[in-house]
Amino acid sequence: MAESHNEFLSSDLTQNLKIIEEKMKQTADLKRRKLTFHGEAIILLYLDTMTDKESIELHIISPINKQESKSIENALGTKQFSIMTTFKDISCSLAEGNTILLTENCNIAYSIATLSDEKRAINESLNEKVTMGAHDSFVESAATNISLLRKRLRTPEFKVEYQTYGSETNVEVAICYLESKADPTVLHSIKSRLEKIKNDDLINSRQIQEALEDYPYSPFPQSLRTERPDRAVFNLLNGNTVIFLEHEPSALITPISFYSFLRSPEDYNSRWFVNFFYYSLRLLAFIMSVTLPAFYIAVNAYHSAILPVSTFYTLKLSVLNVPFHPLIEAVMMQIVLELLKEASVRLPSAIAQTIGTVGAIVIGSAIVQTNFISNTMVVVIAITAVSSFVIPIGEMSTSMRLMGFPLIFLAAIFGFIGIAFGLMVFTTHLVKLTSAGKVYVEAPEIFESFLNKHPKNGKGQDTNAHE
Amino acid sequence: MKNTNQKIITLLFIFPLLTGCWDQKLIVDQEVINGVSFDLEDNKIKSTIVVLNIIPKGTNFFDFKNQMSSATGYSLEDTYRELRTYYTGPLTASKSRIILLGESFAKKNLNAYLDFFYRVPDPYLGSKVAIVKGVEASELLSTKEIGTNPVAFGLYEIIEAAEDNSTVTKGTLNTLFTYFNEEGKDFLLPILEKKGEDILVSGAGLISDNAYSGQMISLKECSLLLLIMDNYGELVDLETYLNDKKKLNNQVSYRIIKSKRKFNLTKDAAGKPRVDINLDLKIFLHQYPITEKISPKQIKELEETISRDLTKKSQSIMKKTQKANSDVLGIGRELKETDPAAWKALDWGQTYPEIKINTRVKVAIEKTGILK
Repeated sequence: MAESHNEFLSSDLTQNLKIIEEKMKQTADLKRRKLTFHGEAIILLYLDTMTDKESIELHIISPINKQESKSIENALGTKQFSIMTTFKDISCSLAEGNTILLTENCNIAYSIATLSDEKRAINESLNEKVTMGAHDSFVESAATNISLLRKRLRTPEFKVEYQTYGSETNVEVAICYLESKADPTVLHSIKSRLEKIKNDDLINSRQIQEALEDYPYSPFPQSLRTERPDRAVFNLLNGNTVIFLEHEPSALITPISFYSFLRSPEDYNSRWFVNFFYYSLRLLAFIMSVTLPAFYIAVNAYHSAILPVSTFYTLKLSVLNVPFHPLIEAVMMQIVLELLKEASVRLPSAIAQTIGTVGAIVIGSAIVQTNFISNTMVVVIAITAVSSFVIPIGEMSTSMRLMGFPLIFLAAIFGFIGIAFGLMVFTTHLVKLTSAGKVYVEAPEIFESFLNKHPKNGKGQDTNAHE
Repeated sequence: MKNTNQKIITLLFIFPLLTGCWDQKLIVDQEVINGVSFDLEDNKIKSTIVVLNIIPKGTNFFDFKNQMSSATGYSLEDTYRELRTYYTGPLTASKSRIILLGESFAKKNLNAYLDFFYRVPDPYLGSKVAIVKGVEASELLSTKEIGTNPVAFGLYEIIEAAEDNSTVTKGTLNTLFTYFNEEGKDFLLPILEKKGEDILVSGAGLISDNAYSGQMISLKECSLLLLIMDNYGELVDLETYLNDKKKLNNQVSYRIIKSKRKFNLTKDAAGKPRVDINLDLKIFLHQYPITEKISPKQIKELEETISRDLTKKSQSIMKKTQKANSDVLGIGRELKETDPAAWKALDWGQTYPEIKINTRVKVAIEKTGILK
């Protein structure tokens, strides 16, 4: 009985209060208010730092003070509440930002939702910009994010499942999908994988991503993290699952195909040939960002025979006084580029402009003038960098740029054969990859996907056009 | 399993360390041969190469210098071994623009000598081949520049221009190889000559059985030969004297718009091959010394004059090829394809100069420019 005594609320108010305070480790931000309701003492407990005081005042204290209603339940009529009996529930509920109402001579407590809802307003997406299309982006609240999706998907098929993760963090994860479109086996595997990290303390979505990935050591991201609701909706309609982590302003989409990383929501918003052009451009950018420096090194060190004579002399002129092997040049330049990029991300935006100047003038032109790195190498690395920045998803863009490194070394040792070997390994890996059990890379249906999108109502076929 | 993996990984590391980079040829180190020339000197081959060195003069400025060196020996490889020692880096012929053959050298069996260029992957098969007449081939390479181009590039472009203007057939080291190995067809090589300080393509040299015959078709007749060969370039301009008197401004000149060749190989009574070539030309009159309206009657007359003139010229050209025993039309090949038995029975080298080649040119004036 000793246990149950500790576990359940007793009718002794002071005793209850003492135990609750103990459970909350006497934290300084636990506040209590004493009220009377029809002669009975009432204690309100809440965490000062998390609750919305205005709401407590308005919806709890003032109805109780007015003493109009007969019971506490009626007094709290306007507010959502639940009844609790154990200390454990109470302390958890307090930690979640609820207010606990205890009454004298009563062994139940009311937990009233009073979490202060301090949300960032919905802003324009910072990392996935578009010129055409919606400009809203996800914020750090799963509920708001789901509402953004619901606004676009007004169907009862849209289903949300909540689960709470972590013994300490107690963070909510929402799994959203379209019941009619999602593949049940895929859904099942996603859920069972998430089940495995049920007790881990989730802080960022990388942890979910890791749990969901079939090949965690692969350089390629196997789930897409996006800030854009339109992209999430598009994928939902394709039968994919969207996972939100509370406090993370992004959606995780899984399963996903490799080509989705080369897509921008803007594509679907433009004419088919514009769409086609930009998609092809990104495919090209992908190939260039992986192979261009390696290709240059291989040509420079082994295969200059393939160059037309004028190009050869241009190249020769630019590398004539450079003391380094092209491999060292390339690695140096890549590192400089990564440093500049990293510096501009970390620095406050006011100082970040300086980095642009330093990068362009000091490193860009001075490094060439001092003959440390040849002009062509600067051009090659710049093109590589720019083409990797074209990729709409940052995660993939970085992966691509870094994947160029092994190829650079292979090219320096073996020339074209090395590149071919490296690309073979990459391709084999890509083809083998799966995302939540689905194939990651399929044959690129570039033309198929565009042929189907031809405007169906051509000239004169649209009956409405004549009205 | 683990053991095998370990072995594989060790091997993967060891292989590059043992073998990697050995065939590395950095652009910086390479010495690029731009032009090669071969002459015959006291029964030895004299090879001359020219290497273009670029000298940077600050950003965006540079100068170039031709480094020329010669060596003599009994074979090309013999001379090449010596030539290599003159240069600071590995020599590569992958960017060679031009191969010049001295007149005496060209009269040898080219196939046997140029073999060197075909066996290794390095030499550039797009280089142009030309015969140098009058002077030693190496003398041409000693010119610093042609126009603003370094000598080898200049020569390449001169020949390319000659090809476009239908002076010689389009050809490179690569096409030469196909001719070398084809019986019953000879080919043309451009002839370069030095005129004062300038170098020009003075005609097409007739090759007979893979060696220069010593005969050439002059600049003025080349275009017509190419028309007969049905292998002309982008521009074909010809001219004809209005009457027999060769005086100032007495020529009508015209551009070929369309040419249609009919080639007919038959046997004559004696069983010898006989060739009839009919050339139908559509021309565009672009120079006619009398600026006045040309009446239809005059056009008829003009057509006849030109036809007669071209027929006569073409006959003499074919005679020249027969004299040089250079079957540039590939009549032998045609015979080999259509009548293998007859081909086997004949010794083509002896037959070709004697067969009858009948040419006829018919001209129709299609346009007279904006002047009627």
